[in-house]
Amino acid sequence: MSYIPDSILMKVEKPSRYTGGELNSVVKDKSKVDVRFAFCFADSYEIGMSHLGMKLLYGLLNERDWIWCERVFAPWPDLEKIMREKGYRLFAHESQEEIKDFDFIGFTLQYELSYTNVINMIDLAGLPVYAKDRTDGMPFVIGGGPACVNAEPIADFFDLFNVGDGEDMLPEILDCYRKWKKEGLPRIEFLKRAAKIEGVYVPSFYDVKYESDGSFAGIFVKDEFKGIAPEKVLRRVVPDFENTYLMKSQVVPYLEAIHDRIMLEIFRGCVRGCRFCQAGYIYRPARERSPGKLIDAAVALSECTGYEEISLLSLATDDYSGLKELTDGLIDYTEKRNMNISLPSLRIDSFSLDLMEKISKVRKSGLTFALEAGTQRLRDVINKGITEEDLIRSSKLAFSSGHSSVKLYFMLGLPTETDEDLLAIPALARKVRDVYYECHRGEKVKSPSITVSVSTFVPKAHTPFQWFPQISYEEIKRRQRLIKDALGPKFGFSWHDPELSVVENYLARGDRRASELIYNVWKRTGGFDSWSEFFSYDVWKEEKERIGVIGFEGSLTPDPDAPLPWSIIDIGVTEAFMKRELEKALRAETTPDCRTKCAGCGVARYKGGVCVGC
Amino acid sequence: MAADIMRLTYKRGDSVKFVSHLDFVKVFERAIRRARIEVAFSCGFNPRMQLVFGNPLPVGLTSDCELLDITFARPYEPSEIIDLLNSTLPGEITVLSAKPLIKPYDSILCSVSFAEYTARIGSISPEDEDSLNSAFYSCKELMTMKRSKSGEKLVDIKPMIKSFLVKDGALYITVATGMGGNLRPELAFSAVCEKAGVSADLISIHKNNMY
Repeated sequence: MSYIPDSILMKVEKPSRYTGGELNSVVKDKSKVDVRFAFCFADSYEIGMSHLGMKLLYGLLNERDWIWCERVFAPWPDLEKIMREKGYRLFAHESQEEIKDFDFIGFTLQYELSYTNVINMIDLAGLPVYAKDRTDGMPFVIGGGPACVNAEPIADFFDLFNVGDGEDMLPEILDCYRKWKKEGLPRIEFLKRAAKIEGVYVPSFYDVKYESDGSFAGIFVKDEFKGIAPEKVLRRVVPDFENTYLMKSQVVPYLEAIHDRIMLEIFRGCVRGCRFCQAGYIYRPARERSPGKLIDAAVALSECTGYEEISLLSLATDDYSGLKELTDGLIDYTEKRNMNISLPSLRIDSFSLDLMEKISKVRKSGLTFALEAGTQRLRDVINKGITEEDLIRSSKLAFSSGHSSVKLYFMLGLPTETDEDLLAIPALARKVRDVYYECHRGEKVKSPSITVSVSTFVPKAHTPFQWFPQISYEEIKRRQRLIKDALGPKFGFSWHDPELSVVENYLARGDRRASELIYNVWKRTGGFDSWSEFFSYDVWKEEKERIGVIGFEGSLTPDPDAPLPWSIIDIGVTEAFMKRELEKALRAETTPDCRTKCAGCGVARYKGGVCVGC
Repeated sequence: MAADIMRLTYKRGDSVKFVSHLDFVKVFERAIRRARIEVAFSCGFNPRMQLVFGNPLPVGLTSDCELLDITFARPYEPSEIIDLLNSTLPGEITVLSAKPLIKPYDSILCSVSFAEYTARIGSISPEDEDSLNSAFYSCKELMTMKRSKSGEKLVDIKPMIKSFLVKDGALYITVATGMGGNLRPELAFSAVCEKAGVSADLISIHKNNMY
């Protein structure tokens, strides 16, 4: 029986998003579990069901007979409106029960624009949105995922955070909870115990200080929690990735998810160190899984899901050292079954014809070349180790093996960027087009589809660019126009809404004062800010202007000694390394990848992955 | 008798009544993969399983008589296909029967003309039931706005309703389906309600049979 009655479901869009019962979903007897965990994704069902981390932790938690982990998504606004009118509350998919009586409400925090949805979901569950207002008997609200490396903007809404890899940490937290629950102690006792688990951040145990000019001064353990809460929370890492939990089953939605396929996480972390890329730092060290294990998992997943596509997931597929063995093994399996393999995140410097031939046996998909910047100088500043020759060579390979559709991906607003860097982008697109016609000289061919895609750089916490400001809204618009006009009509051009990037920037480096902004905007808009149809820039802008400073904004002449709101989290990479990278960026000097030469970033302390033996 | 083309009749139960027709296609494709049934694929660049579904059942309806033609890569016994699929189909989706087809055969659309539905009516008095029945049988025509590909137009749907009975809070109705036209039971019901001046809604609609 679905929690929401049929008479309501008949009136809303895509009602099968709410009824549960999907293949491989886990239903347990609630009277036989100690911990009920509501795993929330603060976006629609189709987005949430595309997310690997949720599937992974869902499988891992449900393997334990004392935990029942269920999935929760944000109801689409049409249903939410009716739910609020008629007094329905946020519910979990498996049991179709309200989550307000669960032990935990967990959110995976993937992107800043979902923060309004996070508090909307806590509210819709029937709970106070501020952690300080939640009392004994209410669930603990816990956050995980990449955005936890700067949890400050949402710290006031959460009881605790799980910073870093959750595979070991989350079961430890739940085990700690189970013992606490049996002892019947007050709420704060659980938080005190949890704070001792490596990687756990309990924001209410800390005080934030500001300078008289409003700038952030520092974050300190409150006196009464000294010796209980750590001075800095060290991000948790699973060092032995090879032997870390690997999914053997995944829920197959009825309604097509955005990424509706088998996902194989071939490695975690990245060896490259592109200076704009937060993921490149916060998942260090790069840790691989062996092809044998991955092929076994792919076969098991394929047999229990019936999916027709396998996707290899990582930050840069072809940095995976066992790629040939893995793809050979997978193709052996998929070819006979008319299945596809998709290889996202392919970098073009090691793009091999061999691999392209292999995947194109099954299906030719469009190719994306991520260059990030137009000139070599700027690519050196951001440490993107790709040259124009790499692009030309890869395009030649791609076009002569039958591809005709290419997307070139860039960013604008990067530190030190000039108009010259921007105008190099259309010039590169033209060169790629020339390569196409050269490859097909004398042949009658259709015109190629070459698209330039430009997103706006948002400086992120825990990157060497964290000390820089974002360019202004007007400047983003001007730079987009500059590229578009120089590109002309023969190329596709796509860009990110500057409004979204500006708001993302408010939140990405916000401190605790940003929670007021999130709260006020949510009160006015109701959430779903990651969807352009619900996002209201004016509301964000107005509220931001009203509140004033809400975080670290950076400056054109970066001050690497400025206190940073996210300094409470130690991602394992040293401050000294970040400063070195900043200085090298300003000199347009590159840093080799972790395999070529250890740059001494500090994550060797985890004793795992690529760092072992260096 | 082993065959390499079969017409399956399957049930769509209450728990999956909100799954859309397009999503059902995927549900079957994946169940076939899990069951390792060897089906025929279309030739070409992007090979697809050779599955042909009947008319889409609107979201929210349950049914005991949905039809699907499958072409296999080798002959199978119908009973084997029923067992294999029922062991892998999720939720309340069940194959009820499988009938071998021999070429040339009529497509699903050409081999059905009528669909029989039962629906529950949300609160209705016996007097209103009587007036609905007599309104239907006494009227010569039932002009209704009907949506089609070419837009909305006024049509007489009476000839498309083969039988109509309201009794004990339920509606029993047989309407046209297939090549000769399609009529949705709730449209027929609301047209009769309007004629009789009765206000009532259908709560759940179930398709019993197609022939």
